[in-house]
Amino acid sequence: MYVYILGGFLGSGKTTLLMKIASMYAKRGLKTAIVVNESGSVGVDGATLKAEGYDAVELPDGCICCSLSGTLQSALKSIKRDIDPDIIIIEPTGLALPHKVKDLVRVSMIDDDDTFIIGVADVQRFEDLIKKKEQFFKMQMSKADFILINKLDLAKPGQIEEVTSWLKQEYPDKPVMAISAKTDENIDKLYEMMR
Amino acid sequence: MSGHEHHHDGECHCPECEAKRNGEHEPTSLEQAGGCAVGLTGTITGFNADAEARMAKALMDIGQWVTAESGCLLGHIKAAIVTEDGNGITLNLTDIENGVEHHGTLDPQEKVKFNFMCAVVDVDEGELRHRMFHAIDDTGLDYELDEHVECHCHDHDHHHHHDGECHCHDHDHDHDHDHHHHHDEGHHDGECHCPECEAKKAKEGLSEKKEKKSFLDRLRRKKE
Repeated sequence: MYVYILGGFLGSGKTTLLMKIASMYAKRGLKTAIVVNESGSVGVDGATLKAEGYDAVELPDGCICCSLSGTLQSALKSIKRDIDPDIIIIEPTGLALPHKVKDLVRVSMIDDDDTFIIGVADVQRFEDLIKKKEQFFKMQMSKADFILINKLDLAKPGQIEEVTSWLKQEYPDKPVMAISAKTDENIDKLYEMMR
Repeated sequence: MSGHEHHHDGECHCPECEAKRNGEHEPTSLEQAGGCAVGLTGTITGFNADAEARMAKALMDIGQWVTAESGCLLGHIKAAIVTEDGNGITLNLTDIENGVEHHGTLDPQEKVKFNFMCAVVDVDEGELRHRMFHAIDDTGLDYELDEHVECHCHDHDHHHHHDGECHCHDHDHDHDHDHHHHHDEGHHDGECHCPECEAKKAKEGLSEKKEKKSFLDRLRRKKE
């Protein structure tokens, strides 16, 4: 069983990407479980996923990397026991630190073969994000196995190159790829990178 | 689901519990990011395409307010409108220029449930909740919230306090004009101090009644 954690700031397109990945695994015939987390007391992503035909475990009202860490562990154990999936995709809130979620997956003792963090960066709002929350964004991306620059379809000329260069400079060892989860640009290349 | 895991030593070792045991407050990631998240839930009577558009406008109003307040919209504003069986639509705003995204379709309904949530950075959480409440209220929809939202603004234009005193009205004060009033803690003694009432109190000697009020009475009143 492999676990994927989608890490990235609020509004970077994690939910759209999650649906694409879940759909890809379903086509491969693999049993996939989805866990979505939202900081607000009410969840909306669960409804989005349901509207698109996916079932998900929704963990609202807190963050699974800190205040809901125990809840995440319990949820993972239940998923392992009741569903025993091939793949678990976890979407923490956009204000979570994915490496902490990875640590929690490890201590949940769900016998995962491996856990990966996919970092997601929004090309459209990258400049604003770095201006205001650079430190936090760096914490989010620090342990990512690879980084996706999302919303390629909305990028202005030169933006992708600019963001790629910034990320390459900060994380020279991490693969960086531009995609559009919405319009599927480069999404096949992403699937090739995933197990 | 308890939310906490107990290991063989009988203790929970999640970061939160470890920090608590060591007497520290480990900042949550939300605090580290300077973010806040607010959610409102309720029901809408008479849902149709016009109601969907009005709800989308409420999201846009909040997006514009956040942009004005913090300089840009870093975060997302979402709403889910669903029927009893959980089917419905979602609205999502992450960028003012891109506008509100609509996912799914929903036929006209007599009654629907809605979730309205906003997770953003660099704005005051209380003020955000207040703005979200007004954004829904301004839609003109026939709605009802599941929980009461404290609103501290006045619906008239008398915001001037030349004498440094608060002259607002109490909740249960029965005026024959139709101002609606909201009180917060800290500057209220349970009395109305508008000129009209002050004059009335002086006339009726209500100051005696004030002396009789115990601390518990005032506390009870605040709770109410």
